[in-house]
Amino acid sequence: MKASRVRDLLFVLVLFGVVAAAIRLAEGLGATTGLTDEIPWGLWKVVNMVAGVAIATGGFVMAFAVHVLHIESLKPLLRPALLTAFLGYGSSCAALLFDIGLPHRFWHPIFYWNEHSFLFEVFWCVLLYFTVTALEVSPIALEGSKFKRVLGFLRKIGGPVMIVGITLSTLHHTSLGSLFLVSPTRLHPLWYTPWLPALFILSAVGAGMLMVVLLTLAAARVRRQPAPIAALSKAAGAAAIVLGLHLALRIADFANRGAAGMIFSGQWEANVLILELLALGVAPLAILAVPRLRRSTKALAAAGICAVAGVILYRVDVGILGYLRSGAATYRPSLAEIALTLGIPAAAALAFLWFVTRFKVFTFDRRAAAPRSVTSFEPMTRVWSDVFLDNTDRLSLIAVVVIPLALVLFVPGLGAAETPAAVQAPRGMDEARAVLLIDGDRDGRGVLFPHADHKERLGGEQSCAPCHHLDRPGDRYSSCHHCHAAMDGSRPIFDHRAHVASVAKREGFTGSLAGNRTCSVCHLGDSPKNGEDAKDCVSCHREDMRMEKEPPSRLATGYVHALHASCAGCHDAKAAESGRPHLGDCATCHPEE
Amino acid sequence: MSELLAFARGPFFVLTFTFMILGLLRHIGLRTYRLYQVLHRTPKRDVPWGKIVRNTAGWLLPIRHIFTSAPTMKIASIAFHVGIVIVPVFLADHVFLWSRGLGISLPGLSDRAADVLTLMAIAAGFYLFGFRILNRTARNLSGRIDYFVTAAVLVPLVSGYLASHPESAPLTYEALMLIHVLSANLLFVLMPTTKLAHVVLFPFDRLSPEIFWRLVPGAGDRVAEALRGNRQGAEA
Amino acid sequence: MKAILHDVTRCTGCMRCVEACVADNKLMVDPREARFTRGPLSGERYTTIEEINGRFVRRQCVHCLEPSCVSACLVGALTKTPEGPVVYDASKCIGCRYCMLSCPYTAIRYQWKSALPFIRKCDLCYDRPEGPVCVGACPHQATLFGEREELLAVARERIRKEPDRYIDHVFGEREAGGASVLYLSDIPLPFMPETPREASIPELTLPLAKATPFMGLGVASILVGTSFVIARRNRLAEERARNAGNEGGNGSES
Repeated sequence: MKASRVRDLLFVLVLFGVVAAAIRLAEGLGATTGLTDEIPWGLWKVVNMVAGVAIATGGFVMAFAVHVLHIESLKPLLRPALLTAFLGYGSSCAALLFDIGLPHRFWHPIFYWNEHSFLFEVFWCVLLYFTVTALEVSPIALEGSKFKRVLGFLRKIGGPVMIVGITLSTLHHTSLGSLFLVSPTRLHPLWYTPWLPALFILSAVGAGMLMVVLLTLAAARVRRQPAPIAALSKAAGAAAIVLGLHLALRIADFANRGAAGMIFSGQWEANVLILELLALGVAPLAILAVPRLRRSTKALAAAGICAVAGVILYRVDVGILGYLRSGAATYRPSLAEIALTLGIPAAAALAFLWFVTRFKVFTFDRRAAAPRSVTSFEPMTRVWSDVFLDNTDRLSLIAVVVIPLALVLFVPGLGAAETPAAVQAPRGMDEARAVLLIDGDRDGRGVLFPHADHKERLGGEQSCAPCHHLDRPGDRYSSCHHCHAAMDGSRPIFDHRAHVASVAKREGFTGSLAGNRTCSVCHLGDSPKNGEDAKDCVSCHREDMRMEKEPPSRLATGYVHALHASCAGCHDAKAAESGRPHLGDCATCHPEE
Repeated sequence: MSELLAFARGPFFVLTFTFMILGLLRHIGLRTYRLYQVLHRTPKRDVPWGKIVRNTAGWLLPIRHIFTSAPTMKIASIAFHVGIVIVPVFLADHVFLWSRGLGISLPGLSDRAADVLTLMAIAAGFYLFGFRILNRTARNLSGRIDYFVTAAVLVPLVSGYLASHPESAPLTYEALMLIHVLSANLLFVLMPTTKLAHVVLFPFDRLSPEIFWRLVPGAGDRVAEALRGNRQGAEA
Repeated sequence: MKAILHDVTRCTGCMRCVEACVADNKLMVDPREARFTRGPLSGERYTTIEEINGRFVRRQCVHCLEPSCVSACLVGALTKTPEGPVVYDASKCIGCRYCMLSCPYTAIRYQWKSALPFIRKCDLCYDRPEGPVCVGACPHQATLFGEREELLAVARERIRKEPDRYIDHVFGEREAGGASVLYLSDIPLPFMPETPREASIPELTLPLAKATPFMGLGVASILVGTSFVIARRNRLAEERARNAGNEGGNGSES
């Protein structure tokens, strides 16, 4: 694949990530992730942080090999390894910023200490080591620039800085394993072991070295340069030894805890574990054990991909999958979550590509040494111009296509219709609250709503769904007008037909379509003609509807209140007066009930 | 069909609408960036702003030249543009969409005014479509995409008008709304990808040539003369 | 140290404790909704009633004697007060949710819907002089509040008096190092954690955490030592090679 296509693809991933990040900041974690109270740590922490720094260990391992063990033959890999570490830790920290609930307080652990917390140790070690990698990488960027004194200073402190960096790495890679020691009861016994710290650092060191091998191979291929195969196969051999040690320790741990039988129990967790051990241990060992294969770029790449995938799977097992076992807990990462998980490393990869083009990272790469020719009349030229501005047209077009797509996919409620949760009837609902004070139309005016009556009339338990409709997302109760829309349809007390005739007569409409002309007398406006847009009864029947007393202030003139108070009194009086008792009966107005 | 309608006015609408906004912003950004680049490359950095504004305004409302050629076409064009700019933005139902979707409150058009403007725009639109077919110059200047775009602008106008007058419509309200929403979404996609981009790029129509080529008044005539072989014209 | 004793056999699941808690902590607009609807522990319910095997079991933060959340929180936002409650200082919290991961009872909740969320859990009404509001709300005295030692004595006394009514075990006395919320029950409680040796979680992790700085010093000194030794050996080897080359006159670098 051409380098520019790789960049476009990475750019697309970055854009998706940017949109996801923006939505995360605006809407919070619940709306953008699949995290729950049972599974509070998801992709961003476990994949981007715990697994991300594991595959960025190359930096400290190569520093150890070159500066402590003084293995000169590995020197060509030192710079790509340091850059990998810098960008890997940078992107892990970036992911954490979006993962923690209150990103603006990320600095709190600097001032508020709990030195008994493993997370506290991880925070400090990662913070310091990130600074160290920045110090280690900056000499590469400053070579040949005018900051000679800064460069001299950085080179002078280089040795001690490397030592500090290696120490910090050792500490926090063990601490990352120790993080999960707090869950002896929640983490699956396939993964919970007091040896986690040792297992974590060994697997990280092995996979991290192979990650450097992989990146070097990839960069050499993209830039059409021969890879430094001698250094690569030496590093891969060392990585194989570390991974072998890790595998041996894993097996010893299972034997020690008497958990070996669980591996072949057929549980899905056990199968995932077997896959993990194959990818992280067996497969790379099998490939790298053959000296001929160690010198083949394809075999090295295969071993590297296996080990890196294996170590990510190991971290996901310990951090997420191992916690699912209670059965009640589920974790379904959302699209936005996945997008940010991929977007941040994609941004780091873009930065990596830019860095290796601009600076002398690969000492074997002759092309990188040549300084870029800069057209003299182009005032907009910036150092990043080759990544962004040269391709303004194409990249902005990609952005215009990707951003709307990302918005639709990620913003909750815009994409596929949510399935609304079933409404659970409160216990003793009808006994305790036969009549509710509700604001059904959401217009700020409450109405007494006879819930028990409605339920009985509409068919008992079967009647929940029509009102607490389960077909419309985001709405737990229908508003009143959902049913009481057309007054003539559902409410026998208002005789629509009679009104049409009498209004036509009163307004003096004649002709065959006189009735049709009456609509607009009561239904104002052009929109659908129903109870909503009709005039109040009172606006014509002012005298008839005079209330006996004012309704309580919070109550609107609900159907029951308004009509009983305004009609029933008069009906009773007339019934007594005229000697026709049925005038005052309920059935006079409610013939069907 | 109601599911399709829900999709068309929900996620699909958001997709195309954001695409339109970003696409048009991209056009503005790229044009401005290019102009900025050119201005920084040349030693002559004075821009005749007054002239550009006057030219653009004159092009927007060609009152002075209205009777020089094809006056009906120019009047129809103005009527058409006034209709298709005002009605989609200020129609009462759309004002509700603005406030619900983006929290923007706009003054609403009365239904009667909206009807008048829409009918005016529809009539003018059909006239312009016919003009494109019947007038020889216009026909020679038109490609297939031009007919398509003109028709695409007319569909939401007609379907919208029919949907707001369901008593005289040949189709059900829901079908009309589906056509209306889908054709509007299509329009949003066409906006940044076709000539319709002139909704935001019209200020650049006079600005860009001024800065790119710095043509002197009457330059077009001289070019024509030069093409005819009049060397003097070319040298001057 | 204060504690709560919950007698599962006496609870009728009337949810008045939940309503009182929701009302006192202003967790819902209408606290009655908490009583009329069931639901798990959440940002809106610091306590709730779970139906387990036909019994009503009240769930809440159990205020462990040696809480793992307190040892886990990297900014020290959670503290165990000497009076018993594990309390939360929202002003320190950064939202890392490690406390939630570390809680062996999975009892800590988060405000997922908020853009600026905090941890939510029972604080045993530590600022209420008359004791937790849920205890006062219980019409059947299924929940008692008092000194932990006294409540343990009450629990043992109840088991002694009615051995058929209870499992002979005070849940929460020793599990995960013990808790300030105790349960008497006639059925096993599945949410009780079974840590090795009934050790508290800090007991399992603290020794390692305390050793870390020394480990760092150890690693650093080993690194410096190794680097020095190997560099010196390389230098000597180089010098020897150079000397040998000078003597032989045809020194080739290997």
